[in-house]
Amino acid sequence: MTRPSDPPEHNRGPLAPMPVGELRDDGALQVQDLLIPAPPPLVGPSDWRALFDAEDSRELLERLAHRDPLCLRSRVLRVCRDQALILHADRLLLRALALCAHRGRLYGGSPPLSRWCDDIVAAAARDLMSEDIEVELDGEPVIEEDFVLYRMFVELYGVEPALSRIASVRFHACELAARRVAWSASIEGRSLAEIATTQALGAEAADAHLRACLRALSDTRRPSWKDLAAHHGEDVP
Amino acid sequence: MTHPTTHPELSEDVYAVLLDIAKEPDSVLLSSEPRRLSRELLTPSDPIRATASFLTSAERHLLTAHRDEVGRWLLNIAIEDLTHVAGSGTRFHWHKRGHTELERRPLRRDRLPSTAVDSRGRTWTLAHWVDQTTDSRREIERIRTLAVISMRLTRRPALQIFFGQLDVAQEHLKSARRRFFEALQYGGLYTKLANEWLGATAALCGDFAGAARAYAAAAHCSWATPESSFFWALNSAQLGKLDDVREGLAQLADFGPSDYDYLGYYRAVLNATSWKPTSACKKVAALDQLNGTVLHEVLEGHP
Repeated sequence: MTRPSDPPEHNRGPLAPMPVGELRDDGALQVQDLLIPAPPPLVGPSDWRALFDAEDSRELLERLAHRDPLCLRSRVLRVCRDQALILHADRLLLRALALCAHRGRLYGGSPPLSRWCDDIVAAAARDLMSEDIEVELDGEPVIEEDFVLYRMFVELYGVEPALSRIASVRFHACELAARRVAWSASIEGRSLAEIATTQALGAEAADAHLRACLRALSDTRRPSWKDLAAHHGEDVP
Repeated sequence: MTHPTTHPELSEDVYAVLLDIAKEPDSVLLSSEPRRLSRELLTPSDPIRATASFLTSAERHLLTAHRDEVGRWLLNIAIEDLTHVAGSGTRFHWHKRGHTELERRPLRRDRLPSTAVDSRGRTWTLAHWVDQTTDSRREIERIRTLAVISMRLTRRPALQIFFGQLDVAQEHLKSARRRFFEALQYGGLYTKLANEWLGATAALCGDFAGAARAYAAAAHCSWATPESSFFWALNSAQLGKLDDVREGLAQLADFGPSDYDYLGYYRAVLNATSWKPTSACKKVAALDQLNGTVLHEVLEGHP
């Protein structure tokens, strides 16, 4: 079984780093290749003043996007894993970048920078999930160009693309323990037996959590305001 | 539908549960055949395109509305990288005072030579260095691609000069001259920069008259700096035109004393490029009238 840390060759897509000096065919990809020629430098605990000392959010966004000094990419991955979220990672990264650019100039050193960044990514994830609930609440159909946002539900569970957004909403409304089992089973490709061991659950509990999540995916009813309120009241992510 | 017996991503026991749930009434699972997971969706990727389908309207706006900033940002990186390629020994005609592009980008001490922002340069030093290695030529191509992308986003006057510099570095002198001529009309700092680079390019081609003219024009710009006057005088000396030499030196004297070691700089540039005086220049340099001038000191120490 393929693990996320070891994607199959055909599935690496255009994201594998290119050798220095070589360019991808796609101009937009070239831009990013050129912009990020080296691993992102970490911002030290005392470097935030210089980093956030920008004239406006645009300037700060420019800095944050270039070489990812706050390591937002890896934070996005970590938050998705820790909170068992199945969100389009680019979508989450962009939202996190935008939030950092907006809030960065107000940052005064507390909480510690690393925690502040993690909080931002978590807030970005919350925002995205809220938006999904809200558009479902309004009964807006998923437009075709948004299919990619929820494609993982189509690929993993065979949900029709038109129902993929509500499937995402329902999945993320599941309790964290259940999501972790489903996430581990789906994204990491682990067996239930493995999950029961690694997450210190009994085999029955692991099975029950997985079933709960999968059943939730089939709940295609439009969410209510109560669902939205519940989402905002949750501790997670 | 008939479900496949295996799932490309899930373990057998997990897929068995999925099949189980999919058989329940009202289940929407496995309505379509499951596929191998597109893992790029799980990993934040580098490319961020304004047309990407996953962008919200706000995010799309962010990328499209700030095209200008992105273009400038790319140019800054290209300038910085070109400076880096050429090494700290090379200086450029980029000035902190007048060139806001460089000021906007936070400096990275590990990559940016300290001389890049606040000093001046000579094209031939760059060309000389670039000749040395294949890697540097490839790097110049990479930088050119970056500059091309920047130009597609936004057309900035600085880009034309920058492309000219890249042309010089690759010894495409005709193309470089065309670009610098075009940049002449931009006015202000750009006219001064274009004239300096035209002068340098002409000198590279052995066209001392053209070089002297261009440097004289640069020396008369409002953004003029001492070296324009010096190279005006130097190229006039190559032609043996004493009056022009004196005029250039008089202009140079108007700048007054400076903390910057221009003398050392001029000498370093001439040494780095294996510059050789013409016989007319040697005659001019031997004239007593030039004793005590910067030109005399530079030529006297030149091997």
